[in-house]
Amino acid sequence: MIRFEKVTKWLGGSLVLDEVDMEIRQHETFCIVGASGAGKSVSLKHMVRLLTPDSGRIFVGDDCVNEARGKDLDRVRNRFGVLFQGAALLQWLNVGDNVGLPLRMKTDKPDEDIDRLVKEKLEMVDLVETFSKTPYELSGGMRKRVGLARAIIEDPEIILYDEPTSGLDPVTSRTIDRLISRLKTDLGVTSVVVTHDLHSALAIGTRIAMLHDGKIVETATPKEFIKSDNEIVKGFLEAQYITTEAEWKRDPSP
Amino acid sequence: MKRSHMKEITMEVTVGAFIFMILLALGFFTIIFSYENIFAPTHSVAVKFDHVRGLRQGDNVFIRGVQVGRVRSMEIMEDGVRVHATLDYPPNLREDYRVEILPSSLLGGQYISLYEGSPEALSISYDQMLYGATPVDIMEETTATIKTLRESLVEGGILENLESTMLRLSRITEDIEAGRGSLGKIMADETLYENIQKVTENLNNITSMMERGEGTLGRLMTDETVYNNLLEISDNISLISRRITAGEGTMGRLFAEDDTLYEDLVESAAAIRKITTQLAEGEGTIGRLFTDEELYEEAKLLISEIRATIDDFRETAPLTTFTSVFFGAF
Amino acid sequence: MIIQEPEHFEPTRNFVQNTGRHVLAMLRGSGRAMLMLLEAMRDIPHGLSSKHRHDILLQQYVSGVKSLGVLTVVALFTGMILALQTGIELRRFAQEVYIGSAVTLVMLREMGPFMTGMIIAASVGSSFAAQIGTMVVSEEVSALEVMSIKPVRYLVMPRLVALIIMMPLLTVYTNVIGVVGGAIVGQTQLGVSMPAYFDNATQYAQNKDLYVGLFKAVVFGILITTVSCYQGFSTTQGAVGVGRATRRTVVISFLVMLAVGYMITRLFYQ
Repeated sequence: MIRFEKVTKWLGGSLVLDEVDMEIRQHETFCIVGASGAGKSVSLKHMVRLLTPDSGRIFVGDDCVNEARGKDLDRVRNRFGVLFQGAALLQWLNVGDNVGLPLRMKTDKPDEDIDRLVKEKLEMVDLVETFSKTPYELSGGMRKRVGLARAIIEDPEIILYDEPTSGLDPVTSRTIDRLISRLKTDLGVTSVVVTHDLHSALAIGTRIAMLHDGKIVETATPKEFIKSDNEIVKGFLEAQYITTEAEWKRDPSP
Repeated sequence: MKRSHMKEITMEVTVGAFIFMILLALGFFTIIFSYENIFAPTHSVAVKFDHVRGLRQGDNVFIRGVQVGRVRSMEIMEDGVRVHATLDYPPNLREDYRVEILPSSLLGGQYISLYEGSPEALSISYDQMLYGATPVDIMEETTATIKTLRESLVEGGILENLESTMLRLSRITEDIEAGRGSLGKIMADETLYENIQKVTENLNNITSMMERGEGTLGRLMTDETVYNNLLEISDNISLISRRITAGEGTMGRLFAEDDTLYEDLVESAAAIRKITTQLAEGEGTIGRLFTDEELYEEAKLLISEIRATIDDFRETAPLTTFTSVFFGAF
Repeated sequence: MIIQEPEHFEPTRNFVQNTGRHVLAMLRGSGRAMLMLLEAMRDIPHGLSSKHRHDILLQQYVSGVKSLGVLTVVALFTGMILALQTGIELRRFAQEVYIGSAVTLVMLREMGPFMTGMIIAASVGSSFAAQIGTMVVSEEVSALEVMSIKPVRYLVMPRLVALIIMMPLLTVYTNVIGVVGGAIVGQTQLGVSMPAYFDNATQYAQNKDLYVGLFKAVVFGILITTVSCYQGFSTTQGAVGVGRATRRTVVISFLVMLAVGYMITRLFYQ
């Protein structure tokens, strides 16, 4: 579905992605983990061409993202829904307008239809009551859920999550995890989750990739991941107090 | 949703009201600055000037001191400038109308003065092309006047003439006072006066006596007094005539003693006459100053203003710079 | 793509290299800003659609109506100062009545558009830069890009249209208030009656003065939008970057307005 071929990226004088090869399969939940500054978000941004690689190519289906322009790029991007780290809601619009923004701007749907669709998506994230509120009136977790509702408003094939649980308390984080799992089941989407929260990755991921110093050091299923011999992976697991399989519970969905 | 809808309507109305008001103001100013009064009938006049000396669009038009309109446009033609002005009132023009461009202040600015003409003259239409007088540049005119004044005074010899004339006149009066020369003597010589007085007295006496019939011719002959008197008269008369013919004495000298006084007088008289004639006829510079009331007034005003300006020059030097920069900027 | 990737340069070794780099950066920035402006102008026809109508209206409200208060004060005092300064000097010649035309001409030709431009650049332009800068930092602009909503069309075009419409209108407002301010000083300080003042005020100004001033205002509106939105999009490094973008917006707008204002004056008044 998404394929990185020797993607290299320099940012601000340092090598962020170093000939990264990676493949994300359809309908899986692919988690990219790693320390801060390891290049997780950068790799995510490459998938929707918010960044262009210095060398290498990125394919989404058969489309080469880093060579797409104009309408082709729009078409590729339309396959994605992205949940940004801070939810990236437009501050001067209320929740309903934020979620409905892509439809309002890109389609000629009447307002009633848009409102109906918006409410539908808000219901999926359990926030239908916030329709008329402004982003200021929402908590961090609620904002992320509204951002998620906006990401799925156009029924994308792929949803990208950039640190969906960062800055949230553990309870809210698990709520988000469950939401990601539920959306995957309900909508049948491919999910790419960038996170440093290994609990979350182990809980929701089909496969987990570990990025370190611009390279993928390990790609494995959660079960294999915690048993990995890779020293970097081991260190990362230990840092989050995860040592055995018994210490995490698979599948957070209700 | 309802709340935000209401808010949007309020916003729309506010923005709309603002735009509407400003467009209204814009339209208003456009009309004002085009100097067309679209709400009242106006009357167009076209005046041809040789040149307009910096008249500008929007300058005022005055009739008898009342502002009645403004300059709308100007176009340069082959032989002058055609000025179109819009008037609020139709001017009642006569054949001897006069259109002038006058300075509105010493700092600059012009206005058109429209003199409609005397009521006795034939009435004419204002639709036709009017002809304006060449405007007077007060500065230029004054400069020229002062220049000619100086030239004629210094270079034209008027000053010298006047000086020598005055010199001579003063000499003559001195002479007269001192009793020198003929006129002086006339004034100063008592004898002549007494003689003449005596003669007339005596003659008067004789005739009176003859009228009264006192005495007879014989009596006249015998009367010694009369005889003596007569003798004296004849003596005197003969003396006078002798002296006159000899060029002596008072009258004699006056006529014959020498040519100096005569020539002096002739010269002085000629010079004075020339000057006075010129003055009377308004020729020359001073003459013009005397005869041309307007120029005189202007010059007087100008000179007083120039003096005031010069007095203030030290103070006003920065201002002069300021105004020239300020007005030069536009 | 409107958002710039962070750039990295090796430390400069000498003054020449440093200067050259700054000049190149300036030229590149100007070029990008110009391209952004062209894109926004090309998008103006989209502004007619109902999708952008609300945004344009909102920007008109924010930049126009909301600025009236500060503009009133600034314009009033500008007119009053102009009248007082010229009036004191003209009084020496007993020509105080000419403050009418002096204030009107200066307001129409220069001060009206320029004061409006300054106020709008400082208040509205800086808010454009801060708002867009914050959006860049919080990835809202990225979100728009990913949603295939063109940031320039969605963010710059409505602001551009709003300022193109509002700047000349605000300038008319500033002109009126400035001339009224002059009249107040004339009446109270210089003994020039209101009718005499206004008669003089309307005597020398022409439609050319009014409309060249309004043309200037339109150009200033375009400049302010371009500079502020470009600075906003160029924001990097979080809150500090937003502050820098705001400051640069005001400084660059002022400089560009002064230079362009001079050129327009030169163009129309030889």
